[in-house]
Amino acid sequence: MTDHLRDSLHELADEVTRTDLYARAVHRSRRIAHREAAVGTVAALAVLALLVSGLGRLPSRDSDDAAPLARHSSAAPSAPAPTVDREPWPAPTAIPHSSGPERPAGDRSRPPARRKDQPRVAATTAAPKSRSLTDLPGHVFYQQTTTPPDVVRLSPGRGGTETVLSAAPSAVGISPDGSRIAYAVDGALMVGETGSPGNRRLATGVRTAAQAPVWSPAGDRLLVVTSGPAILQVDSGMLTPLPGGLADGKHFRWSGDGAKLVYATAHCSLRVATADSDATVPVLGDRQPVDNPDGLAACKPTSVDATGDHVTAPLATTGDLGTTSPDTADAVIDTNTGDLEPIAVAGSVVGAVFNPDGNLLVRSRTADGTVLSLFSANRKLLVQALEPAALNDLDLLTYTR
Amino acid sequence: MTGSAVLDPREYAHVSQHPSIGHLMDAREADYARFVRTRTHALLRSAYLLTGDQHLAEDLVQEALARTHRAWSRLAKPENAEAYARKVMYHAQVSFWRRPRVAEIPAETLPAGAGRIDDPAEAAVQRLTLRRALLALSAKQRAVIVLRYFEDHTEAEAAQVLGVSVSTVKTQTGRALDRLRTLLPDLRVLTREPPR
Repeated sequence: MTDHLRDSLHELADEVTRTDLYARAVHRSRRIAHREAAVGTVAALAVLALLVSGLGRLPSRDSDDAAPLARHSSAAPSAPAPTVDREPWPAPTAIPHSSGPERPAGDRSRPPARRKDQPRVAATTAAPKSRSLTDLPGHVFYQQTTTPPDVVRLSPGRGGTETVLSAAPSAVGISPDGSRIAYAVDGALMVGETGSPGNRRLATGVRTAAQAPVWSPAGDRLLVVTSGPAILQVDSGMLTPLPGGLADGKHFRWSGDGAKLVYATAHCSLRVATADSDATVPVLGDRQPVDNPDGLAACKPTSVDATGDHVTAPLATTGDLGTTSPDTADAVIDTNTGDLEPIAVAGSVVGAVFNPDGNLLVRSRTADGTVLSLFSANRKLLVQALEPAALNDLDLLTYTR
Repeated sequence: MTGSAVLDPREYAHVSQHPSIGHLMDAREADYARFVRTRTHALLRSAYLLTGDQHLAEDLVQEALARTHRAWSRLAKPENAEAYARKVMYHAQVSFWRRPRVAEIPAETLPAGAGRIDDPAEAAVQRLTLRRALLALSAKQRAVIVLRYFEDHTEAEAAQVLGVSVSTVKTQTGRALDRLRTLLPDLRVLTREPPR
């Protein structure tokens, strides 16, 4: 007899008037996108106004902003950055179990988390220091959207692209200097030089569904999942499980200084683990509308900046729980406040990733094509250039030195 | 021709296939526009049952479509877009919106039971009665009724859309049907639990 209820509901639904919501939906979408960036845009306009009025001739306090670009441009791709030498991430057993009361990540000697109605400050700039792709230091890795995907490396300084792994059998991890690749074949962890056929087997029983192999900033260790998340010494093959408090974590990523691990929970919130704490990033994944009115969530962190204060992730909603999360990040999240950091690029962001030095590479689609924008750690726009068209249909995987 | 963001639906197909101006509209944007233009009404029908009001339904669908637009590049397959939009819509209606998004009507004001439904006037009264009865339910109860009896989802599918357990769906459905039986005594026979 439920047919009658069904029919009654359909008759009631027939009362609704047909309406074209396309323009309204796009407008609302843009408002959502620009809402977070509004204050930053105002700040940028103020800076522009100062520059135009001649006040920009005042001595710049950012005179060393170009240093990251120059340093990377001149450095050999495999040369370790200074931050690599200090990797205070301790032996796994030193990480405490998260049995004590949880603290939000913002409690870590930081100001309290910003309320949603408080303004935020965004760093942005009007023009890049370079519009030449060849000035983009390091290597950008992509993968095909098909399964199994080819992994492709773009090395702008060398002027070309190269397929470094055909038909990747699992999620892959690229070392911070871009020279090595790790992946699993039937549970066996393989490590080798990117683009070279000679790979060696380092471990067995490795699962990559919820954890791609992740390299430590120094490139001497890999975080993998066997029976649980564990750290593998690349030279010796010794495997050390992470403490039980981290056993349920997914998609671990190392901060560039090696001091923090950012990971996702099963409820699509983010946590930041250090040697002496394991804290939740506010807002994201919170099911309380008062605390998370937009229902934001992050199920899959993809990269962490040098200090662990920012993470990239594909932005999701709490309604996405249980669904497959995209692999490509489109948001930068402040791990202390849970705020989304405005990304000062035109068009739609289709990829964002930090390299270990905290430089942020943003990939965006515009009317002119797909654009790569490289920001320094303090969000100065260093390079902005069109991506080679041959890469446009691939997904951004990672960005290395 | 109007701008790409406000294309007249009648012009859309022509524009998207025109080689000289096709570059103005990103292919993904064209896919999104096509999705919106073809599926908005179906979404509005569900939203109307959830909100009981044309304008609130439009607001709800607009929000769902906007968030779908934001996620468009991340959707693995465009054909998943409607499921995504519906999920956002239901989740927004049940969980996100802190302000009341329906004109809640006390049950005491419901009109008397319906008469013969082959009478157009009586049919209109019955629709009004059902609409008011739906609005007397909680947001989650209304959502499970629409998912189960309007969109014909299974309990498991409804649970997946709402992000709750199957047992929660069963509980909410049972309570919603009990409430409807109370509010609509003349429609008691309509709300027997389906055998699935």
